[in-house]
Amino acid sequence: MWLINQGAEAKLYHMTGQEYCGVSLPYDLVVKERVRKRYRIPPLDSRIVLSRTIHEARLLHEAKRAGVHTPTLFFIDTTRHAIVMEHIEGTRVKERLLDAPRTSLDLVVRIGADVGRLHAHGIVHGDLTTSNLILRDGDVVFIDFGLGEFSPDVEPQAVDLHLFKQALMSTHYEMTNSYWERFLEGYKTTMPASDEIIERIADIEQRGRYVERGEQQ
Amino acid sequence: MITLGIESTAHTFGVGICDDDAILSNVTDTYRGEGIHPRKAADHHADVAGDVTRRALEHAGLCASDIDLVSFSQGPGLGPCLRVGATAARALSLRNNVPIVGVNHCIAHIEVGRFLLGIDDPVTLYVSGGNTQILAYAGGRYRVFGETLDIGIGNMQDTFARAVGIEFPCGKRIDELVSAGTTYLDIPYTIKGMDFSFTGMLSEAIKHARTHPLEDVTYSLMETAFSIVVEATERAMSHTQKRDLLLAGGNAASPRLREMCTIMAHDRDGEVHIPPFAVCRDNGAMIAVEGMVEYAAGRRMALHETTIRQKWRSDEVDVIWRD
Ligand SMILES: Nc1ncnc2c1ncn2[C@@H]1O[C@H](COP(=O)(O)OP(=O)(O)OP(=O)(O)O)[C@@H](O)[C@H]1O
Repeated sequence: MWLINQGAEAKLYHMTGQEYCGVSLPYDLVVKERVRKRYRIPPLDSRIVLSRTIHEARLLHEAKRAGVHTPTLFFIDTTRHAIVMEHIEGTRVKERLLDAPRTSLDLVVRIGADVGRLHAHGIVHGDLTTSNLILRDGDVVFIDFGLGEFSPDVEPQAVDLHLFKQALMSTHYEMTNSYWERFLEGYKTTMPASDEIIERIADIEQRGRYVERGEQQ
Repeated sequence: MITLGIESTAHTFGVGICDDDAILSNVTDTYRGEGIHPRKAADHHADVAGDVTRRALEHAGLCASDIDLVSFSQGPGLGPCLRVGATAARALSLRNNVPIVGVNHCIAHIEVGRFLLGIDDPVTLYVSGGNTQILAYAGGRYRVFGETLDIGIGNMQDTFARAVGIEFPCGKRIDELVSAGTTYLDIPYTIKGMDFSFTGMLSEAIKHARTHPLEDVTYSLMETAFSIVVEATERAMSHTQKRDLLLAGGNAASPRLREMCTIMAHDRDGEVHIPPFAVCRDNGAMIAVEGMVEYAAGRRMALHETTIRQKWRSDEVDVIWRD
């Protein structure tokens, strides 16, 4: 067992089935344990930590039903306030795109199509970056729904895409334009309301550069 | 350089004076009406402006002709109140033939903390009646990392107090009730990324107040509201990798909020910095400090550029005084 990641929100451990519960499993496990906050009173903290754990598990599950690959949920551990899921063996999309920027365009189309499937099912990922996508045997597996929500609305879905675009700009700046085009190409194939969502992105970007109207005395 | 700063964004009219090293005086006079009354507050400000200015000069042992620079809160704030401050500042500047600069009120809250406590690069949690935001410097601007999507914590607290019959001003009584409460009642915890909102929990708390002891309701409401802003602040600190936290705004006085910030910062090897209350609340000294710092960095304003800016966002200010 070892610690994969320690963030402000959660600690992630990689474990075998033996280590977690004394049972041999055909795959390893990731235990995503939410961090308790000492500054919050215990009843409030428990409520938040538990509801977020359950919420994230539901998103993982629903995303799979929408036809997107996600780690299989093994167990919701309410005493450790942890999601226990399948460990995905593979390469992060981030590294793949950095290593083979020009030969990965089809991969980006597929990611777009998967995000379209999520949105068509009213699932907003909330933290779309190429670090939260793992490539396993040619499949893209979506992880970390910790900031996700269920919403069929235009605004949160457009924000979801906007954040992905920003992630492309900061991590894959040399390829941003062609990746973004390919991404939208894929997105349109699976998301019926894609036009409206894509239009809204322009609004969101405009707002970011909010210009104040002159105030007159 | 001696700078006189005028604050009048909301219910407080304040005049403060500073020189390069210290705050020399800081006088405030607050309109005590309940609720938000921009016109009545503005009338109050106009009535006390002369007297507050005179007292600020007197406390500093100066006369008007000693002033080298006048600064004022140009926004954001309530239009009628802002106009009183702007007018007073223009008059002083013209009469004494000294330069004038208008500054952003929210940013002044940060800068006075840096000036007094010598903190280089904090994340700021600014909690007041009208504003509740988390600010940090990045790339030439104070970026808003999180903010309320509706009302500030201070307004939430005042509205709650009015609804349940707590006498105005309610701050002390609320603090007492928070520490007397024992049972946590369910209150919605609304945070989206680093943004949050308070109206939902406010109406839930008012509903609870019909059937539960007031101390439990107040405790539950304030614990929830503070937890939300502290959580968003922690995310901002984690995101920006900054370890210093500066508290600002009138509600920074709340003992429980201070305690929560201290625990959060401690658990992530950070540190909390809390300026004296007189410069946390709305006040003129912070406006003087901000004006002085900006002027020294080359900010100049012609009279026609001193029109008020009611909706002036913190991240629109070009931060020329930091690198
Ligand atoms: N099921 C999984 N299989 C393999 N690796 C995983 C799995 N889940 C998470 N990880 C690894 O752990 C890292 C952090 O996980 P995750 O993003 O869910 O946590 P987080 O606390 O939200 O992190 P962050 O705040 O850094 O986004 C991922 O970037 C990934 O490398």
